[in-house]
This record gives sequence, structure tokens and C-alpha cells, in this order.
Amino acid sequence: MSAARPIPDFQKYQFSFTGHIRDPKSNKRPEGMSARSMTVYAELLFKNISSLVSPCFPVAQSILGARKWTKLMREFLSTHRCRTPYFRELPEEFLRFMQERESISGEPDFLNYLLHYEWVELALAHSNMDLDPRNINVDGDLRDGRPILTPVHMLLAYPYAVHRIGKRYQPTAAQREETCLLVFRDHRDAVRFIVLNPVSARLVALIEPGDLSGNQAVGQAVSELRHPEPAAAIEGGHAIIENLRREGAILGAFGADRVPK
Amino acid sequence: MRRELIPALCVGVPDVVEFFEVAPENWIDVGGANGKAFRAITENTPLVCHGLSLSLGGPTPLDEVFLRKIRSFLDLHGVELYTEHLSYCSDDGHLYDLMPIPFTVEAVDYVAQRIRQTQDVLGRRIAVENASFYAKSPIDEMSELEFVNAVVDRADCWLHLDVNNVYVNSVNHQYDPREFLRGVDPDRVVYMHMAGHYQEADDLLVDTHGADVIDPVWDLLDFTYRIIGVRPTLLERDFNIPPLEHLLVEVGRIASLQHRHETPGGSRDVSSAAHS
Repeated sequence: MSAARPIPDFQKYQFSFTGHIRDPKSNKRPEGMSARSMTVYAELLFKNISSLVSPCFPVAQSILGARKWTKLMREFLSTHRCRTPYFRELPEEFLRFMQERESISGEPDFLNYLLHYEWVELALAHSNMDLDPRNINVDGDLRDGRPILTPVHMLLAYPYAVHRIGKRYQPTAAQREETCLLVFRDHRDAVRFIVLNPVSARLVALIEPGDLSGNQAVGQAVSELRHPEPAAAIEGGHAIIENLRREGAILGAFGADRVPK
Repeated sequence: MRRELIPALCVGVPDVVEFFEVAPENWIDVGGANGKAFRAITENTPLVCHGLSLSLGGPTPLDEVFLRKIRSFLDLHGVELYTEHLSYCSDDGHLYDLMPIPFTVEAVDYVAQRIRQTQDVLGRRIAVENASFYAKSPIDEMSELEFVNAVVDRADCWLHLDVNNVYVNSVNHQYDPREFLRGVDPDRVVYMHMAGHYQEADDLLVDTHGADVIDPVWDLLDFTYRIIGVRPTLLERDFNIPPLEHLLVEVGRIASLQHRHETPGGSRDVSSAAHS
């Protein structure tokens, strides 16, 4: 039987130091420490964490207001334990904290969806999931060939129109509105979003894995729809795909004869 | 290298800048516009890495996955030196800011062992930086200088000497900064930092890297070069970042101090300052 090793004294001191910084109201400062020293640290760390998280969520912040937002930041610091060593991933830690936490009455029902949507922009701006452009035919045939969606994208479905939420549009739970968005980074490295109707969303989902030709994807989407005028629906489907290329979400095509898997 | 300076640096890297320092945490796995700019600017300029998140003095095990990421980053960019803070920035979770390790015998052994572990994983000797601190721990068993020397000696690593931190600590904790510098083993020192700080009170300076370097710290750098020798020296600036030209004046001042102290026929691998 091996007992757990006792925590050395200097580490006990460290935990009481950080415990006070995380929650100065509930945890007394380490014995023998001056109030002034501890206040310097408590303020420095809180300001730093808040400055790393807050800029990612301007809309949520403006909706909640400064007082509630600061309270959330305090709660984040005192209860959440961040795992990532990367500063830019702190907003994602905050998102996880919000998703694991019981929501408090009075908070908008859409809050976590909005936070997620605001975070997506940052995540895609930094993503390093670039494809080697040499393998892509940008003018490739999007019907016989397989359309290539930029890997720097997220296909998202929210129960609210998160992209419209702001100070002036704050839907209640009764105003839920199924919303599909394709958010992606274009060839100028700008993050953009396209609102998709259910058909377009299904089409993008079919294209996403990269193993169907444009014809196959459109054919499958149209047959799933049981559209009364399949010929018109098929042309509509191809128009959607062409448009996604113009917007920069589809990079081009893998040739019909190439199977680079 | 700060993102704020990317537009100015994309135009061209000024001659007086002989290297850049980057925090690997901020660039590992970064793509998009920032990733491209990083590669363009750093391709032809030597890099030093100064870590932020390793938490050498932290109470939970070192993050080996992260350490391996750092190693790949150092290899990929041909980084010449990796340094970390002699402090901790986590308890059972990351806190993203630096806190002072209590100066105890147990802590020396603990931290030195973690530095050795880091050196093993990275496959190179690292440097640790003397950290600024604002709270003197009540359980200290030795002075800051004794702690720094003992850790560096026990870990057999290099010392990254932050001259501004020596000044800040000497004011905050009432000691003679020149006495401190005389107590450092010059053979351990491979790299230096210069920075400005914020004066919160007469007896409380906060190491913000948000202002110009003040005259007493310039004097201290002069003294440091005289008794320790000239080493590659970086000008840090993390807040209130002025235009690049403004920073280059301070970088130039470091360079001219270096020239004044360089011994004729001495080491040629002396770089002048760049930017955090």
C-alpha cells in the first residue's frame, strides 16, 4: 500500500496563494502575506484573464452589460480549471465553462449559442488546416469532379438566428428559429458566413467529406427531398455549388479521374 | 514579436534588429493571415523563444504533450535558444500569469528537477529568467539571489537575466541591484531582457512592459555589461506599443551600449536587441 505523497509546504503555500487570487472573497490570503501584495496579484490576474477572453465575445458582452459580464469572468476564474497552455484558446475554455455550468435565471436562453457563434470566428481565423493548393484545380468541373470545401470551415446548426442577435434583436425561447450557417475563411484569410436553407445545408453536408462528385451530391439531395420537379431542383443544386465557389467556400474540384485518398 | 507590429515589419526588418523573440505559445499551430506573416517575417531572422505557459514552478506534472510541441516548433524554425520564467503560472489549472515560487530548499530541488526534465524532452539546455515579483513569501528560507543561483546550479541550465526585473525587485524588496548582479555567475548568463515598468507606488513597481525603459535601468544595463559581459539583449514591449521607429531608438541604445563594452577581438556572436 503506497500512501499518496504529502504535498510539500511550499506547494501548500502556492495553493493558498492561487486560491485567494481565484476567489478573494471566499479564500483568505496566505498567512503572513500583506493585503496589498495579494491585491496586486488578484487584480493583475483577473484583468489578464478577462482581457484574453472578453474581446472574443463583443456581442454577448454588450447584451449582458458590464456588471453581469464581470461577474461571469469572476465565476470563470474561481471555478473553472483551464487545461490549454495556449493563450488564444482561452475563449474556448470559457465556452466549455459556460456549457458545463447551470444557467442562471434571467440569462438569455440563446446565450451559449451566441457565445459559440462568436468563438467560431476566432477559431477559424487561427486555424492551420490549410490544404496544399497544388492539389486543387480551382477551375475544376464541379459536376463530374468532386467539389472541395475549404477545410477551414464549420457547418453549424443553431436553434436561434445567432448571426442576427445583438442589442436590438434578442429572441426569447418562443422565437427559436432553426438556423444553418456555413462559416469559413476565404482566400484573403477573412472569416465569412453564409446562411444556408435546409437544402443547401444538406448539400454542403454531402460535399463535406469530399468523396462525392457534384452530380452525385445534388442527385442524392434532390432524391431525398422528393422534389416534384427534379430537373429544376437539380439545376438549383448545381447553382448553389457554383455560388459557394464564387464566395470562396468551395476551393475547386478534384478531377473525376483522380482519387487522391 | 508582437502582432501589433506585423504591418510595419512586413515592410522590412530594420538592420538594427538582429533577432526576434517569440512566445511559442502564441505561434504554435497558428495558420491564416497571422501564420503567414509570421513565416514571412521570421524566415530570415534568427529566433529566440521565450515561453509563458510551462509553469516550471507549478504543482502539477509538466505538460509533456506541450513540451513535445515546443520541441517541434524549435526544430522547425531553427530556434537557437529557449527560455522560460523561474516562476509558476498554474495550480491545478492554468492562470496565464506569473507568480513567485517561494524560496525554499524543497522548491529548489523540485524546480531544478523539472528544468532537467524539460531539457531532456527538448534535447537542449534551456535558460531560466529571474522573475519580477510583488509579494515576498513568508516561508522563504533564502534570498532571491540564493534561490536563483541554487536552481541554475542544480539544474545545470543557463540564466536569462532580466535587468529590469532586477531593478523592479530591488525597489519592491529593498535590496541593492548591483549587489545582486555581482552575485550572479557570469558564465551562466546567455541572454538578457530590458523593459519598462509601471510605478504603482514609491515602493511598488509592476513589470508591465508598457512604457519606455527608465534611466536607472539603462545605468544598470551598463553596469551589467561591465561586470557580466555583453549578451544578446531583447527590448520587451507588450502594452502601449508605440510605432516601430520609437522602439528602434531604444533598440539602438542597447546596441550602442553593447559596442562600448565589447572587447576588441572578443566574441562576435553578440546580437543587438529586437522585440518581444
